Parts: sequence; C-alpha cells; structure tokens
Amino acid sequence: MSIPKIRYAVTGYLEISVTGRATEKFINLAMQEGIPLWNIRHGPEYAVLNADVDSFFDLRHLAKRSGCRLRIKRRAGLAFLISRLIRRRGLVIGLLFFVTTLYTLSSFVLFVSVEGNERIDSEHIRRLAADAGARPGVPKWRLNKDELAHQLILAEPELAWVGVQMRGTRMVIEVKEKIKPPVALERPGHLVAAKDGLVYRVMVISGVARVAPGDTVSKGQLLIEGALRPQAQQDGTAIPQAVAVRARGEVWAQVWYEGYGEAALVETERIPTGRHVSVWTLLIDGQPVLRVGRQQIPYIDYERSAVRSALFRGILPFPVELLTESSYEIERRKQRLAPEQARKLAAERARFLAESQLPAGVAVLSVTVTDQDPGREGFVGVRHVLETRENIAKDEDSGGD
Amino acid sequence: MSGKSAGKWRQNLADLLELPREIVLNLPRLTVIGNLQCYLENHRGVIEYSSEIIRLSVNGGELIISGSDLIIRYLGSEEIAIDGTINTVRYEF
Repeated sequence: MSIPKIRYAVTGYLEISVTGRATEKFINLAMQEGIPLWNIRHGPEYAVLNADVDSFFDLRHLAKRSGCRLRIKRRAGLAFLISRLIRRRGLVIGLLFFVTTLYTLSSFVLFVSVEGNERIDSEHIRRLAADAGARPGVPKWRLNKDELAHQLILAEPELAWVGVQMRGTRMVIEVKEKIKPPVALERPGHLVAAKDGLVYRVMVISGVARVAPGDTVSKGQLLIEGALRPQAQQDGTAIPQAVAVRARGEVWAQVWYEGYGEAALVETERIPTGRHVSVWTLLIDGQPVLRVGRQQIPYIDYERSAVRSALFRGILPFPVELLTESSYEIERRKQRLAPEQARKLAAERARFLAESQLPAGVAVLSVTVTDQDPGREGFVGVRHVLETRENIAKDEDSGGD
Repeated sequence: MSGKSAGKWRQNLADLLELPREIVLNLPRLTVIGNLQCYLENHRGVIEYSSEIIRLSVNGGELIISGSDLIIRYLGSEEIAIDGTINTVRYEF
C-alpha cells in the first residue's frame, strides 16, 4: 500500500532527521504505534524520514523512549505554504494589488492610433472618434467597435472603410480612403510616337497634327502638338500667342515586328543518356560534415544539379541540410539536317522572336517570311516579319501606354 | 516439537482447504518488481537498515535485502515498501 502522498501534500508533512544509536528501534516503535512513515533513508549519522504533522508529537514521545533526537529539517506541503503566506501578508497584498492594477489599467483604452490614412489628418480622425465616444480613458467594455466604425464612415465621407481593433490598451483605427477615379489629365502636353511605324491615319481631337498619312515616324517623334494657334486676325491686330492645350487624338500606323533565326546544317544535340551519379553531403550549420557517394564523375560530358533540403527544421537550433549533387551523363549527337529541315528550324526560331515582341491584343495583319544569308558557312537564316496596325500616339509625359 | 507438528497440521489444513498459505501459516509475502522495488506484507519490524542493506524481521526468521540506494518508501504496521537497486533477497531462518 502506498501512502496518499497527495493528501499529505495538502495537509502538510515534515522531513525529520533522527539522530541516535537505535534508529531502527525508533522506527519499529513508530510502526507499532501505527504512525505512517515514508521515504526513510539512512544518512551517515542520522536517518531522514517523512511523517505527517499530527503524528509529530507522538514521534517525539517515541524518540524519548528510544533515546533518539528529532530535528525538523523541512516543512513541506500546502498547509505550511499558506501559513507562510499568512505570515507574509504584505507580499500577498502587494501581489494582489499588482494583478488588480494591471487588470484594471488594461481594461481601459489608453491610446488611440490611426493607420492607413494618406490624405486625411490622423488628428481629424481621432477627433471624430472622440466625438463618437472613443477617446483615451474610455473603458473597453463600453466601446462598440462596429458601431464606432459605422459612425466614423458616416462622419467622414472620404473614408471607404473603417476597422477598429484593440491591441492591448491601444485602439487602432484602420482606415481606407476612397480612391477617386483618375481624372483626365488637363495639363497641356503633346502626343508622341510610342514606336516606329508608317502613319496611315491621323485623327486630331485637340491640338495640331504634325504628321500626315504616309510619313514614317520613329519612336518619340512628336505626332500631335498640344497647342492652338489662332489664325491671323482679319483686321490686322497682332496674332495672339499660341494657347497650350492637351493634345488628344489617335495616330494609326503600320508597325512591324521582326525576328531573325538561324539554324546550322549540322546541329549538335545534347541528349541525356539517363545515367547519373549522386553525391550526398550532410551540411551542419553550412559546414560539410559527411559526404557519401562517388566523388569522381565517370562521364566525359555531364550536367550537374544540386538540391538542398533542410532537415529537422525547427527541431535543432542550427540548420542541418542535405545537399544532393547529381551529375547526369550527356551524349553529344551531331545531327545532319537537310536544308529544308534546317530552314524550318530557323523559321521557328525567328517566329518565336518576332511574336514575343508583339503587344497583347494586337491583330497581325500579314506575315512575311524571307530567307536571309547568314553570312556563315553551314547556316541557314530566316527573317520573320509581322505587320500590325496600331494607335501609336501616347502622352509624352505618361510612362507607358 | 509440538510447534513443529502444529505447523505441519496447519499446512495440511491449508492444502486441504486450498487456502493461501501465507495467511494460514502467518508467513511473509514478498513481491519484487524487477530490481527496483520490493514490497513485503506481514513483517515484524526493521532490524537494521542502511542504504546498502535492510534486514527485516519476519515470522520465523529474517529477510535480508541488499543493494544500493535503498530507501524505505513506506512503512506501515503490516507492510513495508523498499525502493532502490536491489541485488539480493535472502532468507535466514
């Protein structure tokens, strides 16, 4: 039978040292009296044992009979802890006071901060929030966050969304301002060419056209000038100054995109044979520790790949990685192409280059594929030209299209 | 002589009625768990104890437990539990 240790942990027990010649006798006496003892261990001079508090007086009586001396080494258990705390009342009161103060202070809003505003002044939003009842010093339980967010949106029409959240004692009002639709640029400016092309149609809404259909324009060239020049007055008064306006209009032009590709009549292909060797390296904290695998690569031509994978992430305090380096054997195979095949290959490369320049959403009007002498022996060259029609006018001060 | 025959008689009775012998013959019952723990019922007291050896009085002799780091985990009027590393358990009748 084990003694109910949990019970004694609550009611309290004593650790007693017994000094004397006949500690066995003392123990047997206690046993006969039915006093439960536990954890009896023999020290060099004395025995140490645990006993509950109530039986200590009986034990003292027995000690006198057996000629032993008792000394209390330690008082343990909840009962002693409580009595110690009662003796140190000030500490307990201070502790309770601290916890209560912390709890009380943390249940108030002490700071109000505003996030996400760009145009609206934070102070202004804070004032609106204070009008709605959220100012520093307000207890948290009196705040209705959704209600506050609603009131702020109603009070300030510039706000599109308001979120209120508590971060400890700080109330964070997160706002999102309304984004006004971009208004048309009213500043004076010219229209210039976005790319090279052959103009075939000019449509001016405001400004003066500086190109005519049939003109070749290069990128950046002025197309429509943002100025109004009134005609000379009939009555001979002075010609008024040109008025700067925003140039508007469209300039449609034929635009070409071209790509050039070559192919050798004898192409070397690199074909993986499927054979490979791998070397595994264990890295600890970036240092190679263990290397397993073939160090020498038995291939003449090969491609390497290395994969690092972290092991035991989050378990060990330093990074452990496994580096797998694989070498794949490559066989070079020379392939003699028929001129027709080589031309097809070159055309494919040229087409890819040309089409990759094409802007999205532009229809190709015509495609011209021409052979071109690459100027090298054993090669075939192909030029691939795409023709489109686009509006190439753009604002000179705008970044893109 | 008479004590011995009385013991014989009790043993025969215990055999006949299939009673547990430790109750009929008032013998100690010892349970040893590995070499970690030893639990003895029906003892008569502690004769000697230290961290190497514990001698217990039982009916008709003594039981000697030796080992290292021995402590008496619990001592009651009928039973005793010993913890530690137990090397030998020996009867001396």
